[in-house]
Amino acid sequence: MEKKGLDNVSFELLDNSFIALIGHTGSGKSTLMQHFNALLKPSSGTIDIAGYHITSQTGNKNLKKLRKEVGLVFQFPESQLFENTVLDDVKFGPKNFGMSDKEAEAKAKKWLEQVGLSTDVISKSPFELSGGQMRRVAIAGVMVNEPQILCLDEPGAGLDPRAREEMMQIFVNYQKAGHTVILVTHNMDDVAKYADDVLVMEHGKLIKHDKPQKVFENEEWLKKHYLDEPTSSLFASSLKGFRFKENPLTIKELVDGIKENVQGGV
Amino acid sequence: MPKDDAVEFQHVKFTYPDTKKAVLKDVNFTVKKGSWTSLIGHNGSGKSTISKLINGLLLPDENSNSKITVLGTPVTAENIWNIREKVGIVFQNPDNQFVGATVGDDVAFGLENRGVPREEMIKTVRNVLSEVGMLEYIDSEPANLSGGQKQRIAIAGILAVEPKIIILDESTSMLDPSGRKQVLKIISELMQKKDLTVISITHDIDEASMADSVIVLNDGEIIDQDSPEKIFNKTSMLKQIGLDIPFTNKLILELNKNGIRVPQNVKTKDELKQYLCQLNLKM
Repeated sequence: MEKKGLDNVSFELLDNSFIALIGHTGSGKSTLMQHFNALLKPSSGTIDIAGYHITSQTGNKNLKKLRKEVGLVFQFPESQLFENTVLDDVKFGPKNFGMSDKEAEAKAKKWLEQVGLSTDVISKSPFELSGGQMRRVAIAGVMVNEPQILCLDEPGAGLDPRAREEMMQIFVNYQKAGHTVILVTHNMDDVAKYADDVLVMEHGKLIKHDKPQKVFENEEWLKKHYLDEPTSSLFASSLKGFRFKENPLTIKELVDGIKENVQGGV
Repeated sequence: MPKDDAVEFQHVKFTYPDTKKAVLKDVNFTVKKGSWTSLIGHNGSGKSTISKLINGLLLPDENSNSKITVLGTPVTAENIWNIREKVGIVFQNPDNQFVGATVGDDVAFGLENRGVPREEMIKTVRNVLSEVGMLEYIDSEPANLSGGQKQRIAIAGILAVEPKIIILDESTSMLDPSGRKQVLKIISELMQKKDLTVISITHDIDEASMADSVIVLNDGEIIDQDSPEKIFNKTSMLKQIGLDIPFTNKLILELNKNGIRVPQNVKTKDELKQYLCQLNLKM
């Protein structure tokens, strides 16, 4: 039986923005993500990304540059580590994309540091590390190619709260340095906190593409699609007698809104 | 060890082979029978080591005066098989726990190992699958199930051998929110029905809040054990060791910082809502 993984999906994303891709398990998020660097190709329709034009006819040749410019970090990427040492694992990408051993090593060291790993782990086997450290190595292994577009599927899952927060900050900094970040997530508080733009998938269709403020604006719509609201807006809507100019999506917005209500007196 | 304790750790020290530093230094705690206890702490604080010590997958350092007692039986090399009958662990990764080709085979695995007669085995497998709401999947292949469904099968496999203690070792951390809810709901129902003791190792504040008692672990030492309400009010301690604080506590902190004084006795989400609404009416 043929089933459509993606069904007539159309959208444009701005360069250098932070995009959240949300939807339930099986909604087509991962399928969509794999189209970003042509790991999957559309049965019909076209994709323009990083200077490439991908169609059903696109062959597997000459995709190297695309794979460099669009970096995908899958869920639990630590299961894809394979080299003998942490350094070799992270060097693999740049070398594969044609960098000299020396250059690749310098880049690898830089990105291992960027993801918060200390220099004493670089000569270790990745399999001797803790789960959280392995996750960082795997993420460094993609970021080391300095892709224009970095796409991450639940990069914080299973990490402790501090490590999650640190990870998110790394991606925010990467975006601010002039790259596009696409975050696949179930965490609506992260969507509210980090995203400029949101894609919502359901049964292979794109059911909404808008700013977080708009996506979370209609309670009825969210309920109908079994999507959670950010904790702050949920709390705000349970406060009887309060008026918020804008639906508060983060704790900061919520506190500001509460302040206006109790101190504003208008 | 009092009769109503399920697990007791006394001066437990554990060092992994080939390392110098002890992962657990001098760990003491008890878990009451029929209670739900959560173990929280950052990655690498020793939480999973504790779960493996409870069912004898690991044994404490030899030259220490460590003592672990599970349901009245000391955990020693000779006793581990008896103990494992009573303690089931649901691990983090749902994909690493399958041995059978179908859901039914997988659940039957533990029973086959114990030489349970076929008739009885079939009955038990059906029973436990219906208890986790997965009976209709008895002939399915594990590969076609979602993460939450796989964890429910893992729980069924454990229930089949009738344990007294279930340890959830970050068993919901790889699941999506609906999978997580399903698993926790089933565990809390089973706990009541079967008089189980539950120990959950977790980073998830909502999961930890379901417990009767929360143990806080930091760098191999227990730094606190109390009710979830009391633990989650100790926001500076939680922050310091890198753990999350619940939304309500975060909001109270931010309100105080912004000049809206929230009285000390306002602790829960409902109390905070009520307080803010009153404050708003006065304005």
